Amino acid sequence: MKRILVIDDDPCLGEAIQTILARHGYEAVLALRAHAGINAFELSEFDAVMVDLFLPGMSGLDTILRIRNLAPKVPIIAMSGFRFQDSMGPGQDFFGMAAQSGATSSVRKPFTPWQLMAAINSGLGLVSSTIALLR
Amino acid sequence: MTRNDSRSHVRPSAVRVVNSNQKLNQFDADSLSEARRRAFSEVGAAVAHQLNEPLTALMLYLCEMKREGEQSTGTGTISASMRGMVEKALHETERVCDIIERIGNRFGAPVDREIAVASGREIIIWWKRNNTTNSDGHTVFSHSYRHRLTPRERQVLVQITEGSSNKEGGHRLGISTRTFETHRAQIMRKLGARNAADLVRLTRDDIR
Repeated sequence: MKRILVIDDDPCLGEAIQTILARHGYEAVLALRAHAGINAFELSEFDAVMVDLFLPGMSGLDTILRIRNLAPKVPIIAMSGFRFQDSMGPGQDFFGMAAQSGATSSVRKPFTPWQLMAAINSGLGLVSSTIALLR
Repeated sequence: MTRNDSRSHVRPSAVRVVNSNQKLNQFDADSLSEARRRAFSEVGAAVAHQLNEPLTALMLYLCEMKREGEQSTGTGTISASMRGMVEKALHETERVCDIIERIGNRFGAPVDREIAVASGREIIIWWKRNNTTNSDGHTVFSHSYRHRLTPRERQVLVQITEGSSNKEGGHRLGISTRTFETHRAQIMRKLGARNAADLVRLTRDDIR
């Protein structure tokens, strides 16, 4: 069974993600804080990591950097419900910054189970990464 | 120098004053308009960010319910009317998502990464600090507000929440009714309370 580490400070959303991932045959481990997530990542094996970009304490971008340094190849999926103006060009928004920090793919909140699974499967190399992941 | 000469000498500078006042007024109006636009976009971004968490959870559960409903044909465990309602709930959730999308995407972020992250974080923290709700759905004022009160204001707040009138409260603290009222007004301004009931709730929820 593939193991996914989910780092998000909203426990209710974390539980919803866990539920969906479990129904698709994945085991999701939830960390509510960046440091807890990084500790869990160091102590245990994970096939992919989902990181919210705004976390208390350490920012999601720094969290992605830390995890990328620990594991150069692990798929990291950035997620955020923060919006910028439409006029912002690609690469200028937080997902662009997440990609620069080492995120493999991104998913914008709110997302559907399909978008969640597409982001994870794309990260795991199970589907083509050309699938549009963003709403 | 005649009076007429004097007037004709004064008039151009008077015109200049009027013109510069108009410019100042216009500048004030533009600044206010810009401040409002910025405040709206920041609040919008914070509201959208907060709402997108439960909305995502709602979307995930409803989609899964719909999927389960579609798969459970034959056994009759999920009725057609239930499936219809799930479908409609999902549609309504998507409508909310669209509204939030429009509210939240006005925030023009700085190009610099550090500044962008800091400003996004600042907006989210500001919103959370000011708008945490308790299980009753009431706004809970943050502890940080409490620390903004002076020791005297905290004493006045205690008197208010114990139901003292301005006169009684002032008497108990050894200050005049007028001074008590001034402290009361300051407390309400600092805590953003609209009335005594807000202050009582604040004390019950936060300070004790």
